[in-house]
Amino acid sequence: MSSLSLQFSLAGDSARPAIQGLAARIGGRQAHELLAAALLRKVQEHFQERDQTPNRNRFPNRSHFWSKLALGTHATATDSEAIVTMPYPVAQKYYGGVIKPGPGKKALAIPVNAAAYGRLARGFKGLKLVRSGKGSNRSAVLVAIGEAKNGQKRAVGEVMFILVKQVVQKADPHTLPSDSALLSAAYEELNANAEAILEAL
Amino acid sequence: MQLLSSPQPFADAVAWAKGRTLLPTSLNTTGLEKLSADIREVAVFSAEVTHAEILQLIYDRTAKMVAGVSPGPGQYTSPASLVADLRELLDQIGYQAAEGKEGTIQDLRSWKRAELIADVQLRMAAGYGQYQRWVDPTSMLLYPAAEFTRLEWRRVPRGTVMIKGLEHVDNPRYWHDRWIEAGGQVYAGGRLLALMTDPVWAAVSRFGVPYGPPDFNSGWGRKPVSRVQATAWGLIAKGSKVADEQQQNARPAEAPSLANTVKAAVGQFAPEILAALLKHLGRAWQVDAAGNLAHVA
Repeated sequence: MSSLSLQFSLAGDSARPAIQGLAARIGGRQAHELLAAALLRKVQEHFQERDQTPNRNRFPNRSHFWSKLALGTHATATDSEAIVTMPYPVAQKYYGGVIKPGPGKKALAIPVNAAAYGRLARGFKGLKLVRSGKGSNRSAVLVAIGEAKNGQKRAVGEVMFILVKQVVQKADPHTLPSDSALLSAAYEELNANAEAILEAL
Repeated sequence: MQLLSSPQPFADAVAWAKGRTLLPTSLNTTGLEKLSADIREVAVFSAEVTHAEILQLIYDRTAKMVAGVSPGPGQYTSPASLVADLRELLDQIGYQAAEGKEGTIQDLRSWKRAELIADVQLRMAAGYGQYQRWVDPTSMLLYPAAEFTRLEWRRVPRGTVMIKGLEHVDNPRYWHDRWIEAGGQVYAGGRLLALMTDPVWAAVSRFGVPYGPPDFNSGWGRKPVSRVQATAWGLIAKGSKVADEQQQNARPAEAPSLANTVKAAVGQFAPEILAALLKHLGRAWQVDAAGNLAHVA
C-alpha cells in the first residue's frame, strides 16, 4: 500500500463564478495551485484538530501522530488538477485492513504500557518473552524485568507489549473530511479571497 | 480520493534530508550553536556524536521517514523505527555513554535523546518541505502571512516549570516575549503575525532557519493566514502588490547543500569551532585567501 492522494479539478460546475473568474485571469495551472494550497490547508487543519484529542489508551505521553501526518502532507498541481498527498499511515487508517508482521517477523508487538507507547519492541534491550495458556488461549507478552529493589527477593517484571499474529484495523471514515466537504471548504476560502488576489496581481 | 499504487514521496522534504553532509563532531549543543545556521542546515550532526556510522543511519532513515511512503507491508519508516534502529546500532557498536551521563539527554541510547533526534530530523525536513509551499509565489497569493501559535499540546510548555509534580507558571508570555525580541509584531488580541517571508521566522528559531520547530520539543509553529485575513489584521495594505511582498527576504528555492551554501566568513567562528569544523569536513574544505571557508575539491 502506498500514499493516499486527493485529486480535484476546477473544471466542475461546483466552482463558483469568482473562482472561475480568477482561473480565467491567471490560467489553469496557477488556479489549480491555489486550489491545492487551500485543500492542503484544510487537510492539515483537520489533522491538527484530531491531534488535540488524547490517545485512545489515555497514556500521558503523546506521539502527536496526527500532527506529524499534517506535517507530512504535501500538495502539487497540474494544468487540470490540484493534488494533495498524505503519508502512508493516512491510507492505512482510512481504509483499514489487516496489518501483518513485516518481512522476517513472526508477530506484531502491541504496546500496553505507557513506557512502550510510540516505541517499537526491538528498541528495548532485554525484554523477556513470556508465554501462557494453550491452544486458542495461548498468549505471549514481552516483559521488562526491573532490578530487585530493597527488601525484594526477586526482580519485578512489567508487561510492555502483547504479541499478536495480526491486527485487523477498522476503516476510519473520519480520518479525512469527505471529498465534498473538503472541496466546499477550499472553494469557500478561494471565493472569499478571489477579489483580493486579483487586486494583488 | 485515490490510493496511489506508485509512491508519491514528499520531494522537497526528501531533497532537504538528502542534501546534507555528515558532520561527526565532538562539540556539545552550546558549541554547535556557535556554528552558523548555514552550516547547521546542511550537515547531519548531533551533539558529541563522532561516529560517522551513527550519523549515516540518521541520514538514511530521515530521508525514508520524510518520504511518507511505504515500500511494502511493515516497511514504513516512522520516528519510532528510526529510534529503534538507532538503539540497535548503538548496541552493535558497543556505544557507551560518558561516565555519569547514562540515561540523561547526553546519552544517545536514552529514549529521550534518541526520540529528540528523530523528532528534530522529521520536523526540520518536513518543515522545509512545508516552507517551500508557504513561500511559493502562487501560494502566497492566497496565504501571504502566518500566525505564530501553539500547534501541539505540551505537558510542560516553555514558561512553565514543574515543582514537586505541580505545574508552576513562570512566564505565560514566554513565546510572546521571544517573538518581540526576534523583531516580531504583536497584533490586536495579542496575535503574533508576520508575512511568510518575514525575517522574524528565522530570528525566533533556535536553529536560525525560517522553517521547522522554533526550538527543541516545541509545539509552536506557523498557521497560514489568508490574504483577506492578513489585510483585515493590517499585515498588508489593501491593494498592495504581491510582487512587493514576495521580494522580502525570499530564500533560494532549491534545497540547501554544503557545496553551494558554505560561504560563511571565517571570522564568525571561534578558533576552536573552526578547527573542529575543518577537521571534520576534511581536506576538501579550506580557508581561502579572502578568508572564506571554500570548497576546493
